[in-house]
Amino acid sequence: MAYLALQNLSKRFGSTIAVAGVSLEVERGEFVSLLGPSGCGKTTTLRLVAGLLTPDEGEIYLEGQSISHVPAHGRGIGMVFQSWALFPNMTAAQNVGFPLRIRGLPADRIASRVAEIVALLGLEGLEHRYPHELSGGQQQRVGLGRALARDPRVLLLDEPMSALDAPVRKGLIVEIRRLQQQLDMTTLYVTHDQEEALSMSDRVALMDRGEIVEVGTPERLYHEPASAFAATFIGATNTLVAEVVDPERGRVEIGGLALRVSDLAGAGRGRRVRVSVRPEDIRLLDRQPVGGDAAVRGRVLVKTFMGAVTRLEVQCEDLRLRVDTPSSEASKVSGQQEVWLLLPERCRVIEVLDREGSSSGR
Amino acid sequence: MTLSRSVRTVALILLGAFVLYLVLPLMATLLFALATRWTTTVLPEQLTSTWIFQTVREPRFLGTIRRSLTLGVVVILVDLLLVVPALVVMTVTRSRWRPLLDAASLVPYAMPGVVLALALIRFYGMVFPALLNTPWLLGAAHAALALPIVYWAILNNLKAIKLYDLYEAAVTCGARWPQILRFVVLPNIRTGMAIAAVAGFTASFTDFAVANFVVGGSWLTFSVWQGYVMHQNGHIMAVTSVVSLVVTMVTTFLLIRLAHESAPAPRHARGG
Repeated sequence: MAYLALQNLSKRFGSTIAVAGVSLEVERGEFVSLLGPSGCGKTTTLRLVAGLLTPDEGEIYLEGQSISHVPAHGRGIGMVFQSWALFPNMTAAQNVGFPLRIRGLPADRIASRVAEIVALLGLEGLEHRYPHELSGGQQQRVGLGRALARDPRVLLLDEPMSALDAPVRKGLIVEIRRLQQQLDMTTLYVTHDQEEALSMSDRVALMDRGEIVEVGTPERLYHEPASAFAATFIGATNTLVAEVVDPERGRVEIGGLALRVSDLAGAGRGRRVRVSVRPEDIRLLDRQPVGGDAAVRGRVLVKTFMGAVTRLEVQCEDLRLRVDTPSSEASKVSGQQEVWLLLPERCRVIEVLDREGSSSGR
Repeated sequence: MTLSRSVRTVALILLGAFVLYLVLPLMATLLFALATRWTTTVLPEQLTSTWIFQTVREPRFLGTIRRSLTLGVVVILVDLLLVVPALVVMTVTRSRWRPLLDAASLVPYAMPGVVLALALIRFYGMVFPALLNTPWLLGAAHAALALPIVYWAILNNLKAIKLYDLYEAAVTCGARWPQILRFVVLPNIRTGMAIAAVAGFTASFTDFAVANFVVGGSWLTFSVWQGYVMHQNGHIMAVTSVVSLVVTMVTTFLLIRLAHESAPAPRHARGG
């Protein structure tokens, strides 16, 4: 059994099913993110692990022992909250030392552990400040320090950066990941921000409507999404409806545009499938390529500068494609200009559609 | 934003009028307590300390003050002991009964003191007559009278500190209930408790109507004695009013100072 195992967890609030049969295994020292839109059950799942909620069904195992009915204070879990929830009557150092103080540790041991955590989090000089005297980023570090102070068996983070502005958030992403690796801390992280999840995690569990729909490494979820939800929720993508023309060779067609797919998911000839094409996988050309079945001509409608890349919205007859291209190349393109697009050699089927064109599951 | 000179002038005039409105009756009472005679002139004809000494020498003066002080302290302790644990538990468990408690807590406000007193006398006269005319019944009546004040002061403080978040943070740090109460809840609601205590104490200390009905002369409180004195000597009545004000102000000062010394007031976090 894994270090932390969630088995078939369910939780209802009245008639609302918040978590429906969630199972997940987290290895020791692993950083796993629960990623999903608001209301998908990720925070409820985290709170079940923390012991702040009791599951209606299912079990939670930590180091092989069921903790489903162990009260929150006895689970040995550290948690960082979205609201930070620092104790306003305590200084930063007192907040960090709180878990040790209530365990009745001697003052000198508390002081040395607090000093260790303060140094680890770069909070030197702020020890005697009260929460209201700290910035949001500093408060979040104190919250993290408090959660780490007693060497938790698992660290839980509930959207800890959602209230921070972008530069602070980016700094903390790197810092949390560094700390987690340095301390080899088993971590379960809840976020709705795919950038956070992809950049920090060893694995990402994608949640939707109370269920885990897909678990995998950030790279696999991004490049090989197994569902339409994963393809559209993680990163930007173009979802195109194609018809299978040659199942043996994995060939599909979209209005005369020939594409190859890596896995047809059992769809036979004439079956319609939904295909995902990432904007950065489409190449922008200034002339028609020789022998390119996967090339299509279109007109640039919208051009959005995004720093290193520029996103183009290109209308190609019935298709409207998003294309991410290096800004240096995009600078040569003006609005309403005609361009050629070369779609990638291999695309990914994310959904097999039924005869009427609606989803039949993959 | 800078205010124009005329707006500032109007604001100052309004503020001055408000202060006068509040201070004039107090000044007049104080002057009357010190006046030898004040009937036909704008200001007292002469000042004297006679009424003060006469009041202090009154045999019932110290006794009634002691009773009212004790009663006020007991009332706030009872109310805090009733309200704080109940509200903390209801907030943390997100009890669905809290709106009902909110409404029930307003009943003593909505009910005139006399009605409350008569209801208590009728009820206990039937079910437990031994309680009639005792300080126990008066204490219970005052506790009910001060309950809405204490309840809402504590409730607002609990909302302001986001108790639920703090509770969850504490419990995931490994804290149990007694530790949460001692280290997290109580230190953070000291201001609310001080406000509740001041308001509850004042309501009890200055109550005449309920005390007069429930115990009357059998357990004379300071306010009821004031009522008796009023018919005998207006100057002594003025002295007792000043004493009542001083007691309330000293209590307020002590409680607020205690709260401020022990709990830093939370302010908004800095950005970023």
